[in-house]
Amino acid sequence: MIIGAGTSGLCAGYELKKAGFDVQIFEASSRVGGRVKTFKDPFLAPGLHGEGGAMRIPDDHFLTLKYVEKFGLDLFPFEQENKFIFLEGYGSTLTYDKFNQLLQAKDAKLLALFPGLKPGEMGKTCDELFEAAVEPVREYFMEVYKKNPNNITAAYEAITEKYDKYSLRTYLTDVGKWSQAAINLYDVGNAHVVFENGFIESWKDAFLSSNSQGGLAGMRQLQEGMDGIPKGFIRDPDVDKHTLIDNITFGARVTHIDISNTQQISLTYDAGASIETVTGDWLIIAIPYPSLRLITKSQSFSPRKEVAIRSVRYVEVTKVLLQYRQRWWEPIFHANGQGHDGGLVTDLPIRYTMFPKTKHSRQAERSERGVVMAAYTFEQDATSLGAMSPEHRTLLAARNIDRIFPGANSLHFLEASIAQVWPADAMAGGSAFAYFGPMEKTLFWDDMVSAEWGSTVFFAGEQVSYTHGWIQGAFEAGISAALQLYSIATVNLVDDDDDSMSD
Amino acid sequence: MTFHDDLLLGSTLSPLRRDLLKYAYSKVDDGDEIPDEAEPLKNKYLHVVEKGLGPKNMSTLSQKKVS
Repeated sequence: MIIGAGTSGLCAGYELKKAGFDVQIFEASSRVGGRVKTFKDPFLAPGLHGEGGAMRIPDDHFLTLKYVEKFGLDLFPFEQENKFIFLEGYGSTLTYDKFNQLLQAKDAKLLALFPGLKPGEMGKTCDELFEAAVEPVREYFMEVYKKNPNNITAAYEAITEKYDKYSLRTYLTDVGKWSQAAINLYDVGNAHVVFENGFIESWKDAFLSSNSQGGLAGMRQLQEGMDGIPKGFIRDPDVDKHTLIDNITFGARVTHIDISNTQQISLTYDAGASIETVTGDWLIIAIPYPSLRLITKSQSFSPRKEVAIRSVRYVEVTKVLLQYRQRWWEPIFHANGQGHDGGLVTDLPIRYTMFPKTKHSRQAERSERGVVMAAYTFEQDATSLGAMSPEHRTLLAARNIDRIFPGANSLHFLEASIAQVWPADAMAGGSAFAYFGPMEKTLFWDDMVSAEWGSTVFFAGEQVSYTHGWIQGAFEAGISAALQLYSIATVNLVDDDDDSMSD
Repeated sequence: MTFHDDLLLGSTLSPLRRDLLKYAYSKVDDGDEIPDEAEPLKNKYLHVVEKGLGPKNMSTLSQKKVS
């Protein structure tokens, strides 16, 4: 039995079914994919799509790409050729290159927005500030590594032990000695910085992003939407004999789990107007911790797992998609001598905007329309946008965009809007993805991945991976849970047919 | 999973390891060949997708079934 038909639960179920297990998945909603959520017709015009959840695949996410290949899905580039910034106090839209040049030139008008910058902080870009701030981590890493040649794990554990106690904010202020003004500059210059996240996880993301020149290079997306990945697990039986299409019970909101004296797991769920109970030998829980918190149990899990379930940090995200009748932004981007697409950071409520990639895009070939991710917001911004009425939210997003690109007449082209408010999404437990806070990695990890109730209950979901917030993490956790269960279930079995596993 | 797995199978898997070393080496000796110790674990996971969880098949031997 598996709770949750998100990518992680589907992956675990699929691999276990291939191994001959009788798999039943219980999904509270009426769809597969969880936080992979693609909006199409009827939310958007026929032929168009936009992503409410996961939207891109880095080149090194080999498990995601492996399933993409397996399901025959077509990829095309995600990286964006333009980057703009609009700061309300500055009053006009800048290319990000120009923004960096002004910072390096200590432009008085721009620096006036950040009073209190230390002399040593002036003249540096956001990336330069961050690189200088995390230099002690690199130096300590190398110091330990030199003492333990060819043992990168020891070096990594050393920096974790030393720095996991910091949030990104406390590291930058206490170790990096940043002024509050530098914090503010880094905040508006990046839009997706969450200063209360743990430092180690933030650091890994940040230095890897800097390695790829902005974090978008090497990313790809799916031609017909990211929901092709979860739907790959429920293909027609004629196409895939291991399909899970009839192994999922939709509309099944699990309310209670129990274990008998004979180690049988029972699971109670609301199914429409009735309450149903099923039993099985093993259970994989593949839903976010905030959702798991709402399920009652006949007995507790281990104490530290209970603490992890109660307290592991989740990030809130709200995305607002706007459908325009014409891609009015393309002439503006062309005027900057670059391509059709681009990203924008701003201190306005929408915070981050992504204009779609049109080169090699099938939906761009099908129509002159375009779906803009007008707002990609985190934390308080996500909560505030999420609390608005849909009509008000659309107006705010559209008018923010119009203000940033005055004269483009963008409001004239607006046709439709749809938003994904993860803080209000009951199926996701009101959260977008896990992201460790200070010390959570050190304190909880071993307990998070361990089985419970005499190795009858296992755990998947992106939170049980170190690739938080990515489909890759869901796959890592799903396969890990399936491997754990398989190992326990087959320990005393003998199978003469070693080839039976071949796909 | 352990910290070792975290490193190998962390947010960026083998590239994390390579990039971590590249990053660490970047101001010391650029151009060093970076070993990739993550390959075995990466291959273990890919093997599951390609070949399955293991050689045993529950459909023929398991006495346990979901009821």
